[in-house]
Amino acid sequence: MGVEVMAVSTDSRFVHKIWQTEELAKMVPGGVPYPMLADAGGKIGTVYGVYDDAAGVNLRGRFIIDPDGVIQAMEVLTPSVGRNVTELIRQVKAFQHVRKTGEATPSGWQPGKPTLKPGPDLVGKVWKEWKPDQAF
Amino acid sequence: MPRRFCLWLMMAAALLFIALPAAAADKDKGKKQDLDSSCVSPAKGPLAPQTKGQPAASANQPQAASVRARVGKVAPDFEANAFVNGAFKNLKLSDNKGKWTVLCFYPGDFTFV
Repeated sequence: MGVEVMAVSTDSRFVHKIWQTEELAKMVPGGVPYPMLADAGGKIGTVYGVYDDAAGVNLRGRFIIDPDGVIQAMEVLTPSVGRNVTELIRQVKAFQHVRKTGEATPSGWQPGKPTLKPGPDLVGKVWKEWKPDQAF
Repeated sequence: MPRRFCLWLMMAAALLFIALPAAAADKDKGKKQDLDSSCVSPAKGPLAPQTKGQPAASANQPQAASVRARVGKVAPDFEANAFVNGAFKNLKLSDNKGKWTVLCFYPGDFTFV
């Protein structure tokens, strides 16, 4: 899909190396294929609003950034609940579609499902184009 | 006269005896620092928005760093030490300009979720 992933935690690059070689490579062949960044002191996390000062770690924040560098989406969770990667992929595909076509993707959109063409003609007519059960 | 000269000679020798090893140690320290700095230079952390003609400055101010990330706005650039493809490297967010980026923060390595 042409997406660069960057993983960031407050751990140093040395800890990243060992985690990759000692645990991740056993979970996933070859380990994770993306860069693991070191954010000592949570300075980058602070600027992104995800640094938990009291705990000294970054929260589970995830930002989708488009090719112009604009943040299109963010999702922040407290540490105990993991992310939903399927939803992340769905969102990236949706934003890529919007960027390419200028159309809007309704709730629960999946590639191939109907999109909406925003404009004055659509006002009050969305019910004709889309039904709520299409969100699932 | 010769006695004073002897005294002077002894003092000079003593000083040399102390100074030379110290200087050598400094040289060693210098060499060691070179080795350390040849690995990866410290990363600048969050970068201040670039003004024309000036290199990206570190935005690590002691006073409260404000949250600059907003959905719909340009993502704050930063530079960080990274472990990538088996090597240590400094990476910037702006290295990905022209591509989609997913930036994932997480609490820590070796934690559970």
